[in-house]
Amino acid sequence: MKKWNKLTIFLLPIGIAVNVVGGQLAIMLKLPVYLDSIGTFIVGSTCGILPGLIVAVLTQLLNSITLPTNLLYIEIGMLFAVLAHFFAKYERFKSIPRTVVNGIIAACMSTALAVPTTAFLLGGFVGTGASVIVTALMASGWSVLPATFVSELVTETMDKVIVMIIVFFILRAIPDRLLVKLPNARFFIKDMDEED
Amino acid sequence: MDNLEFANHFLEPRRYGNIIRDLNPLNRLNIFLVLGLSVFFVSKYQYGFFMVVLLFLIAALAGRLKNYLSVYWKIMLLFGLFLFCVKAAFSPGVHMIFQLWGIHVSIESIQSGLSLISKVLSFSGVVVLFVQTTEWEDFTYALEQIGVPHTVSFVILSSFQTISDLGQSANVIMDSQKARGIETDGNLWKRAKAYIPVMGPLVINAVSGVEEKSIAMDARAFSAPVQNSFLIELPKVTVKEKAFVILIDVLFVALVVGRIALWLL
Amino acid sequence: MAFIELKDVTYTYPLMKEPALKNISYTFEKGKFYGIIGENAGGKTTLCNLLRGLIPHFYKGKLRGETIVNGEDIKKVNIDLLSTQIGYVFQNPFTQISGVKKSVFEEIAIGLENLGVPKQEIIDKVLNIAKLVNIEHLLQNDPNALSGGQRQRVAFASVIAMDMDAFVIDEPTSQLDPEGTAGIFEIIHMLKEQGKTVILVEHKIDLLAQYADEMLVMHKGEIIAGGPTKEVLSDISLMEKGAMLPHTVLLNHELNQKNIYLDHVPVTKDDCIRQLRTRMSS
Repeated sequence: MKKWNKLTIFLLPIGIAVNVVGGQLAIMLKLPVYLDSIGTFIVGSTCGILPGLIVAVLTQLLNSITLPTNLLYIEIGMLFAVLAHFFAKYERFKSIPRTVVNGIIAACMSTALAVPTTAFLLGGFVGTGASVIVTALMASGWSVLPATFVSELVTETMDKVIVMIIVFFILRAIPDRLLVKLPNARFFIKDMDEED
Repeated sequence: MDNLEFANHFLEPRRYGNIIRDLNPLNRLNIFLVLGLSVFFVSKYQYGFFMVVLLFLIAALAGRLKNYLSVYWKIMLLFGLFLFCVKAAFSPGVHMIFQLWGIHVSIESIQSGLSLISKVLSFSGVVVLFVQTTEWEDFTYALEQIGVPHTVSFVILSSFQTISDLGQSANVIMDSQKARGIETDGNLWKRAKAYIPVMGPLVINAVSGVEEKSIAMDARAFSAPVQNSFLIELPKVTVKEKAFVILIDVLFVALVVGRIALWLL
Repeated sequence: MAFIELKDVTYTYPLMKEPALKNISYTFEKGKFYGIIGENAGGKTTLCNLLRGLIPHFYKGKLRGETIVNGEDIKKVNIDLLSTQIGYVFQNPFTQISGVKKSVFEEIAIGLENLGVPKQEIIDKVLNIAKLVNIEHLLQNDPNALSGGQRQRVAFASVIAMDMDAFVIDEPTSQLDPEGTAGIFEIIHMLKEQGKTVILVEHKIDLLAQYADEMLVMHKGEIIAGGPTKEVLSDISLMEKGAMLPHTVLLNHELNQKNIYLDHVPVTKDDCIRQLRTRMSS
């Protein structure tokens, strides 16, 4: 295995903690969105796919301590880690409009992944705010699949657009002298001289 | 306890004096996982509910019933009651019991509800029980014993500390926001506006400290090219324990194989 | 014997135009105690990073000239191995606590565990160092709930416990009271007595004057003065370059302007008192 970038190792716990605390804060402020993937996007975009995956998986394992059904959605965090890397690579964190589009892309993909699990395994019930929408839709005659799809897409899009905007500002605030030492520095800093 | 006494307790392997908690963490994980996964291979939902009861007994045996319940009750409410209601109300079925607007409860929907929640409840119980009976540092020690690098231990243990540190800072920032007149309750827009001034500085500060953290851990020979030693150790796994785990695993494999054979035939 | 030799070293951090170290040449001998002083942002911490091998291995950037550690070019040195040979303590006490241990005892033991020291030896060393650094009463406490000063002492103890041949120490007393500071200096002096090389960045010039064998003064990335402590600190002109000098040197300067001359420039209090006594009795 290639030797790990030393800073990356120490960023992993921070990424995980940012995910968890960000999510807790959203709950505390009673916001209708999760905001529990900020850390995954930051680590994924600055350090690459594998560190992002580790953050995503460990976060989901930690979340499952209190809500074990979170384990069923472990692949969605992983999707965000991969997306984060490629968003950084194709400079999609450079402006707010691009960032918003990122959020919509991420939301569509994660909805596509989450709906089968929610609809078929859990009958539309995830135990979060989205469940209320699903239950309401189903009670008014929708069947489980479209009801789950609509509710997930709505909440996910709101969530991911906000997450992306927060990530955009955080990435801009990380000092260059730190960024330059991270594996994905070349995506963010153009005039890096590679000598020594 | 004086310091010498405190120091000398490191000489003995750490024991809790409890049959469940003194199992090697990985063996405990193995046993619990088998219990949790077995419900997916037994079609009768009664088995799942039996498992839920069994988990309560194990929690009591481990002296952890109170801690177990403090987490598990929410899962029972959310996935035991609500999930069952949703399933029972909306799953398709032929033998209708009750019908109102979109809601249609049938014998089949009740059965599918019971079947689902028995599985969700027992698997969730296993996860909660493992966490409630295991110290994380024991778990990472056990991982290192089977060759997992100690950076992994660091990441796991450090995550917990960082969560608690960031959580505390979040509260401090929130309080100072309130003191400066920024509302953290009130309408949705106001609450949403409070989020970023709290999270922003929190994340930036944490990320900025990473450089020094890395240097500091390096100074403690974190990546020294030598085999590290352990101040705290766990007891060696007994033959009895090993045999028990193997027996459990064999039974589980037999169950899975039997189940697949049934499908195929 | 030379421990670290710097020959015309110039170093620039990544993305920076101005070098942080300019044309630095100096030889650090084994077993000596070096004090580094100078204005803020004068390059002291950068020099520490170089001596510890973090430059160029961690910080990257452009390193010119030669840096020889134990006879080997620093660019070729294995930095993970170097971390077992040169101890490093720096200023910020908050980032130096690992955050993965439940007691100060275990916190101090981390470095020893990583060096593969046997358990009984770890226990003895931790108990010893705790006594030395005066943190015995903290050993069973949670390291994540300590005050800044307490953390600073724990961080210091954690590195000193690893018993390496050389220590680079960057402002270890920033959060300590005078008593705590004096204690740290005594330990550093003791390390030197044990034959260890110590390189210390400090603002507390009076204590440095008392203990250091040699002094380096840094200004805008250059070493503007370096050599035996007495010689360096006698040069009053260093004041103009932002260096703090011992009070006794300033006193001597005042006396000189009133045409009172002592035998030599006193850099420590004891020396000053002695000279003044002799002078008054004559």
